[in-house]
This record gives sequence, C-alpha cells and structure tokens, in this order.
Amino acid sequence: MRRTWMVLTAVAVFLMLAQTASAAGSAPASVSITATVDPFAEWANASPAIGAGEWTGHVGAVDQTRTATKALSLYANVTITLTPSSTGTGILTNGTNTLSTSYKITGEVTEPDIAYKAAGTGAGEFFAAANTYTVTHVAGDGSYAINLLVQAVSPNDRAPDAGDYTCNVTLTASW
Amino acid sequence: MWPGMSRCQAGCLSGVLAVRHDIVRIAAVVSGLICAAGGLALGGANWSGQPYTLAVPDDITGAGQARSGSLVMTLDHDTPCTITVSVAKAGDEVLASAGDTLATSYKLTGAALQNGGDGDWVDSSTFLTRNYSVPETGPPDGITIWVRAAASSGRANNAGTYSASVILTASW
Repeated sequence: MRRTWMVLTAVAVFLMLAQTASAAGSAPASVSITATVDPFAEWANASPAIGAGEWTGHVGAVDQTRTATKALSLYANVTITLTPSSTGTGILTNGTNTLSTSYKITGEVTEPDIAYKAAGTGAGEFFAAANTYTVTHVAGDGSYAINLLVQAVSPNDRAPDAGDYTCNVTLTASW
Repeated sequence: MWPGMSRCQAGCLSGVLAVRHDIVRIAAVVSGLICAAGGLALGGANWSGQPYTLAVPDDITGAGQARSGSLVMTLDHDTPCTITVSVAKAGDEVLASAGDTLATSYKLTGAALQNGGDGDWVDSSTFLTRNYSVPETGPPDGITIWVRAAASSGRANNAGTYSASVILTASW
C-alpha cells in the first residue's frame, strides 16, 4: 500500500513537472547599438588628371586661349576650407617653354571665382596664401561639386615649342 | 487507539496516517529538488546580463567605409528554443542619426545555434525575418550578435552617433 502511494505520488509530480516544462513561453532581450561617423572630407577621386583631350582644343597659333574644366566631387560632412597649391609653379611647361596659365574655382564654394587668377603666389593670384575657398556643409548633403578650370594662353610674339605642356595643382580640403 | 474504536478501525487509521506521512515527505523532497534547481527547473529560457549595448568600436572616417562590432549575450535555458528578431518600431534595425542612415547588417552566431548561426552578413530587413533554432538544452550558451555599419559610398554621411536597436526573443 505504501509503495503504491509512493509510486502514484511520484508519477503525479512527474506529470505535473512535465506539463509545466512544456508550457510555451518567451524571453525578449533588447540590444541597443551605436556607431559613430567622424567629421571628414575626401575627394571622390584623389588623383584626377586633365588629359590633352579635355581641352577646348590644341594650341595652334600665337596668343591663342584654350581652357579645360575638371569636375571634382568632394565628400564632406563638415564645413571645409579649400586651399590650392602646387609642388611646382602651377604653370604649364614644356622644357623651357611655358604657356600663360591661370585658374578658377567654381561650383559649391561660397565665393566662386568670376575671373581667372594667374598661377602665382602674389596678391590676387591663385596660389596666394589668402586665396582659399569655403565649402559650407549642409546636413544631409555630403557631396559637393567643385570645378577646377584651367586656362592656357600661348605667347603673342612667337610660337611655343610643339609638345605636351604639364603642371600640377593640389586642392587641399581642411577643417 | 481511541475509546470505542475497534482493533480493525484502529489498524486502518494507522495505515492511512502512515501513507499521508509518506506523501508529505515525498512532496517535500520533490519541492526541495525544484527549489535547488532554481526556476529554470520548470522549463524555459532567459537572457542574463541585460541591458545589452553594442558600440561599434571604430569610427567611420571616410565614404564607403564599413565598421563592425559584436556582443556576446548569455542565454540561460533548460529547454530547446527558437530565437526570433524583431523591433519595437519600424526602422529601429537601421543605424540612424537625424534622418541619415548607415547600411546596417547583422549576424547571429554561437555554437548552440543550429549550424552555428549566420555564416555571412544579413541585411537589416532580412535579419528581422530570421529564426534561429537552439536545439539543445542548457547550460548557459553564448549567443553573439554582430553588427556592421557601412557609410555611403557616394557622399559623406552626417557626422555623429548613429543608433539602432533590435529585440531577440527566445521562445519555447
């Protein structure tokens, strides 16, 4: 009799536990996630080039003006200052021959150039320390179109040597 | 033996009392075992160590850049269960800051998950449709949630802290 009661009791308890264990349930856990974007600026193309075919034409006469426009994209999420510089003179050169070279910056800068500025570091010239451009960041607009325009003029008193004339310009974005 | 009670009646009463005594003892032993094993002895699952916060350790410093981070969550369970993913409100799964967003991907991994969980990144909307089976019972299992934040490639995302949240629910 005692054994029977014990067995019955054990079975009842087991069934009760089994029933409880199989009861459906759920446990949620919320995960909060953060990531940080730093202020930055970078050029879509860090090493653009103006090829011979991008000019309005080859120089084929004295005192002839040719221009080229390079469209650049600046990715920025902060207001930046653009400063032009050159590792050389910024003047189109072929051996000892040069073409009169000048530049303009237009596009999404607060004060785009109206006129070309001569390649040089003097007052009013393109590489002057004071010649900087501001790109004002607008939240949500992280891409800005900047145009670098170059103008080459052949001498008016002689024919320059035939060939390719080269120079370089660096536009540094800082913030 | 009370006055007026027959020998037979006394014997029966003695037997009943003895059985009741055994029942009480058995019940006490079983209850003790249940208490010793804790609440999970009743079957279920629980995430321990909450609240969970996952901060992607490295900042994004350029367009098109991706950064990732992970967090190990502990699932206490003594029954097989299934983990589902949801959000408190639509869009919570995407890292966002003042209207700007980062491409957000997730992975859930862990030895306790069937097939080890995700082998590759899952985009945020697909992640919400995933079910992860935890076929075995305990001991506590480490479930790792991974998140990847990718900046836009054609512009600079706004600077700042981007936030998201997801809910992992263990059901059994």
